[in-house]
Amino acid sequence: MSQLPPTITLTIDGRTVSVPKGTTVYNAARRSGIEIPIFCYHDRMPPLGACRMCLVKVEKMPKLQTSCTLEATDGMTVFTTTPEVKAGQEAILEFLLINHPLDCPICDKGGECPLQDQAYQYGPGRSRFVETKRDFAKPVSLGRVLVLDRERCILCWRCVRFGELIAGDDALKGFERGFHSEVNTPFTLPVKSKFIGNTIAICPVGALTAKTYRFAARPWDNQPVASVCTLCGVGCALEFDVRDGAITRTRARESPAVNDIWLCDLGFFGHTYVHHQDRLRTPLIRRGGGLGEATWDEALDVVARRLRAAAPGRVAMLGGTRLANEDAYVAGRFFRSVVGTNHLDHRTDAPPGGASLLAPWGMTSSLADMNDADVIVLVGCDITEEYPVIWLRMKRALDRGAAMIAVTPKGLEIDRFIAHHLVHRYGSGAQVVRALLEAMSGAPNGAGETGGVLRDAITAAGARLARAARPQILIGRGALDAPDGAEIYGLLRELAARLHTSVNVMRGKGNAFGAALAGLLPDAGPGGRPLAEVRHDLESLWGAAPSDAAGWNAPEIIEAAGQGRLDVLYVAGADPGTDAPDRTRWTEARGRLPFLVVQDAFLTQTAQMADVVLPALVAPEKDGTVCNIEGRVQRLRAAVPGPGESRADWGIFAALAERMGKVIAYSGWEEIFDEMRSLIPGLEIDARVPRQGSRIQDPGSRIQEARPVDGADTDFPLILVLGDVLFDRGAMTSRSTAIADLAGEPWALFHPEDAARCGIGEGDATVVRSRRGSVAVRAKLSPAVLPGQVFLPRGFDAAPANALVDLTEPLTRVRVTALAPVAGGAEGRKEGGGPL
Amino acid sequence: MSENGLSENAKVEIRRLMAQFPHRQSALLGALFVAQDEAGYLTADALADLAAVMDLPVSEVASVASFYHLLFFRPVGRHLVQVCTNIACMLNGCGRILDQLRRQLGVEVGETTPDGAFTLKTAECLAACEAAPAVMVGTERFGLVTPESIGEILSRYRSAGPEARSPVVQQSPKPEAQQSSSGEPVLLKYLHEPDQGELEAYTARGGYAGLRRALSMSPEAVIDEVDKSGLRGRGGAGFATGRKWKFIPKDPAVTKYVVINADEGEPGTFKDRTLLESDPHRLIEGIVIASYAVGAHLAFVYLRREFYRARALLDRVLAQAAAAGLVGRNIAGSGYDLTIVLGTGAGAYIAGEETALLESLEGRRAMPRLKPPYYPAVKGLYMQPTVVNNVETLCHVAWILAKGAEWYRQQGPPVLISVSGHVAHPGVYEVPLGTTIRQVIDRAGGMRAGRSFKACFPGGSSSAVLPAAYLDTPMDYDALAKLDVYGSMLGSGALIVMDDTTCMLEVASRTVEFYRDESCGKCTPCREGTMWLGEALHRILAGRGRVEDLPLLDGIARGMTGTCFCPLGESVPPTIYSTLRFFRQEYEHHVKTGRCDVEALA
Repeated sequence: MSQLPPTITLTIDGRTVSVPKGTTVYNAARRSGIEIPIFCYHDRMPPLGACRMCLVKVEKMPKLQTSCTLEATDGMTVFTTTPEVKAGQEAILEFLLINHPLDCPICDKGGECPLQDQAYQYGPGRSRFVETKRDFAKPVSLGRVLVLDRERCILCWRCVRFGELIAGDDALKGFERGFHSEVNTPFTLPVKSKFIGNTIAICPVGALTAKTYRFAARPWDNQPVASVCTLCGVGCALEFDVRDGAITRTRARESPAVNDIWLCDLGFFGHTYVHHQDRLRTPLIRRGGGLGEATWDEALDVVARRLRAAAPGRVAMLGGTRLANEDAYVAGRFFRSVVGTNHLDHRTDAPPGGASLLAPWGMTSSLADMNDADVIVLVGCDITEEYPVIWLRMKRALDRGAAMIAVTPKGLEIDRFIAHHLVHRYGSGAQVVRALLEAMSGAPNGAGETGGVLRDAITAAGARLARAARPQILIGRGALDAPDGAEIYGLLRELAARLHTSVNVMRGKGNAFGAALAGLLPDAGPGGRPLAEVRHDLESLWGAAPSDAAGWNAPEIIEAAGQGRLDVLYVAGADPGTDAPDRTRWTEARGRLPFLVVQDAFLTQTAQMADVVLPALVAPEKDGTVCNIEGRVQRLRAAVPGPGESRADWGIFAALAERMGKVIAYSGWEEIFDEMRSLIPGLEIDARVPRQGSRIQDPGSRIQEARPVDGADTDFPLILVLGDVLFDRGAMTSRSTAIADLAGEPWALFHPEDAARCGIGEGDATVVRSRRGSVAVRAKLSPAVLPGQVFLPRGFDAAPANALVDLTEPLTRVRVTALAPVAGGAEGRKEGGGPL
Repeated sequence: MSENGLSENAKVEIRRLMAQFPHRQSALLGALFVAQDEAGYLTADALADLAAVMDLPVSEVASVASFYHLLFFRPVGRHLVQVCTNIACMLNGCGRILDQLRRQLGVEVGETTPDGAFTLKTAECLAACEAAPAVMVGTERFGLVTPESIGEILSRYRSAGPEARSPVVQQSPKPEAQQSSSGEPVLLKYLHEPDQGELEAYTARGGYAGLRRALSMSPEAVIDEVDKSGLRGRGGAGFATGRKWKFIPKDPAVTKYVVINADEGEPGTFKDRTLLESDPHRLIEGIVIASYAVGAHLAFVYLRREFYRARALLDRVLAQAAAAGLVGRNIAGSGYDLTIVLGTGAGAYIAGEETALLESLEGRRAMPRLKPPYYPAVKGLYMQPTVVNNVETLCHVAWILAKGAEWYRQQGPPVLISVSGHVAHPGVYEVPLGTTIRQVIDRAGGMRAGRSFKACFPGGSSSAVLPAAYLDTPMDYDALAKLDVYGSMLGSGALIVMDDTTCMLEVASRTVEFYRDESCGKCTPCREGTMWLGEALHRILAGRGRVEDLPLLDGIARGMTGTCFCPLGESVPPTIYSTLRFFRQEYEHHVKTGRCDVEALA
């Protein structure tokens, strides 16, 4: 029942303009097509009034006014082009240019530079400045992606305010003052941000430029292609700028419902892998122990033969998160109707029996709903590492007074903004959530364990939760895959029911949502409908009915392989060698598997073990659609062709079908999408479809009793906590050099007390060892991890976290030892002992 | 934790400071000095530790620190020698003092002696113009410094041994502050009473009577009394104090604050420092009255960092007042509570602008806020309604409540004028509002022997320069503002007098440099215009002027006029316009001959 704000009417340059009360003169003018030059104002931030460029004359006001800060009022008369205004604009532009180097010919911003444009249109055309210009060392490197040129900077403060107001990371700041003022980082250290690309985008001059794009192209050389980022699950709208068949840079594309106008730095700088020399260009076939190049005909023949030879129930397919919707759908059609198996699952990283297999992945709320939340409950989710752009929405809600309650096993970089941060011992999250539920109900402080979290903190959080009007509840992988994950999820569902909302399951990268939607699940067809229900429809569309044998989920497929119950495993757009929760189990499974096909863009950990490798396109080379974590269907557009003979994934399945004597023929992605629409109600581009997934069962029923997590192990005294990080070194990220550099060497985070006890210091080379295996990592020290716990990020191929995990144990226990450099630069162990 | 990090003691002290404020970041400037006092400068490790203790981003801590001129990122000597080079000291030969220090220390400005004992720096107006030229060594202020006395001053610190810092606050030579020679002075009545800073003496002389009377009245009645007195703010803008207080919402559920601007820094102004050092209880009394009137329970004194003596005195008198129940809970049995917290500046003139002051008091870079919406009375400190009053204003308030508005008006009303420059007896003079410039100069002993009046700033260097033709202008708000000279104003009542030996280009240049160095850098015209004017004037003074520089200077000033974000930038054009207008032949002589010949011109 919201009322429209009252309208006021003013006159600008003789034109009558009506705008809602509260509109600034600048915005009123823009709305009516009157252009006023400006630098400091950015419409995603409140007015600042610093650059003084947007001067206008207002009747009855003696001085010129800055239109960006002046609220339009009824009856106001504004002039934007009087001689007085012109003189003011010329004065400001002259001031801005006296210390500007005017090195436009070698400036990346040239051609898309607001300063250039406005000087051309509004400037005096000459300068009276004969003194020496202010001189700064330039260019200054601020880390792996950002270059700062302080001479070009006009101190509009946009980048500084972006960090303070939008990202909350205070990455770039103002230093010194007056004409010595400069934007910089403390001590010119590498900038610490996950969003710094945005500052380059909003810089109105060439002061902030990207190392990845310096001198690469002029804007008019670039052909922009509108597509979507698939590197996490948020699905930010972006534009690839293409020159001579190569992506020169990535820019955000405005999408109010998803990323607004922002991207994270993985989105900005994480697409250079596309052109990496390691891209697979031809199929590979294992011959005599090694993988050798082959033709498509050879490779497809081999695969088709093996698939034909195998009993349908002895074939399985893993993967899907890196596929487009259409790829995933055709994959499902191929395996269900041509091969005849239901052993399909995209959830390759889910541990067996855990909540990740129970909970439907994706959000029920929209991303935009985050802005309006008054309480955000974030459980086991490191939002800036996993879904960074969603954090920008959360920050807006927090700025408007929302409270965040976070239940995590370690501190987060957004700690400063979290009103109630309940940091608990790993494996005790359920205790905390249970206590939170009790506290919300006003129950007196109970006596049960709370994972080391103070009862009073839980009580305060519960009291806030009880007053929640628009709560948002999110559970992440860190909780779902914890030993008590199913219990946490069940408790959160109870909490959500009490608050009349539902739980957002922050799970799945890339197009995981679309893979589930397209039917890459063992027990559900397209649209998440049970196979029995959808069988008739599929049969009429596909010309063959899917098998009615029960399908296996991802852990069951790996288990089956390990027990010799599989003949062919087909992996597409996934890397179980890296992703599967227990590497040893995967390796053993591979060992007993007669035939492994991998369809991917790089020779991943899994592909290296394959019998046949088929080169596939990556997202920026594909036309089609993908879904983000809120189920929004978005259009993927091919910016560049794939390298060599690489092919679209769906085309590979169609070609295989042909070789198996069946017809899967589509003219293009549109036809596939149309067919999907006939099966999936609501499937429309830019619309949201409801999340899919396994039926929710009573979370308690399928879960074995949580095994005791206490009890010290003196040989392996530390508890391992795993997590996803934004910058890692996986198959793709290690080949996007900026991201690989931002990620650095593999690392682990230790509490300073543990580090001191183990004799390790910041930056030391260490070995983290479990009974199962070991990884070599650099030590980072931080009180963000609890004493007795170690945080190890996933996603580093050189330090695979899953090598330490034994799925038969609820918790992974490790010990850490320092490596000392030995003569010759090789690393050796400081203490004697067994092999690494 | 780290080698150059904070000691545990420092962390304890920082936590103590944080506890004084409703928002922890407000303790940042104080905390930075705690850190700086440990190593002599701010090490990267100390900043990181400080950020961790205060739970602030390191980048924010470093950014804020870099804004303020008294916080250092590089090592400085054990004794920081600051030579005031602002107008009043320039007129009184600070150049020779600086030369002498260069020679004796063997270093240039900004450098440190090889033994690490002294760092030489220039300073902007130290609010000690009555004793110009002024020098600070560490926390001690020295006035009437001569090239001959430099050696003696330095030797005190040389002999103190390598570890000695300068913790002792020592008074400069007795200030030449004077009171009205006719009639009973009000504000300066007890200027020369050595025990005026003692509660007993203050009370015996009628102190805190105004407070007791105010507490017996309703807050509205107190505001009315101040309104009736006609008191206008003495910080520079001259806004009616009673009206300002009436803007504060009455709703008791709304938290309000009173902030005292004790960041006196307008060149040529030293009356607030004089009041702070000679009658500190009066300020406390005024603060309690003002806070009671507007319903505030927390008041903050933003005290200029260089006012070490005033800080020590305020600490003392606050403790005395608290012990006597005049500050704190249930003041004088009235049921009214007020806590007064001392904040600190860190070397930034712009923090005297009220919204920049609030930013600084919140522990940020002192950059002015946008008005609207951030009028202090609406969204002030911590976004709550806030009254910002100047030190002298609140001293007036104490007297008004003690003696009544009617009595107060009959006293003139009184106003303090800081007279500096080329007069025989520089000092603070209490005169009735509306006394002419000529009369005030006469009160200060007239011009020095053999010299004649050339020009003056009537209201600090932010006002226009007036030549002899305006000597009979009354020093009151309206008369000065109504003159046909752009930027003429009473301002903070700082009369800087210049005689016929003064080069007006040097005055203009020094004035411009001051605003250039004190500009916060937020808005374009102030940041770039002051820099450009400074460079152009410097070039002309160096003998490389051109005829077209006169219209250029005027043009730059025009580009700044009415376009700046806050009054700081707008304070520069009046000096340019007025010197170009009244002393044009001097500019022409400079650009034509490349030389200054003040004597020949006179």
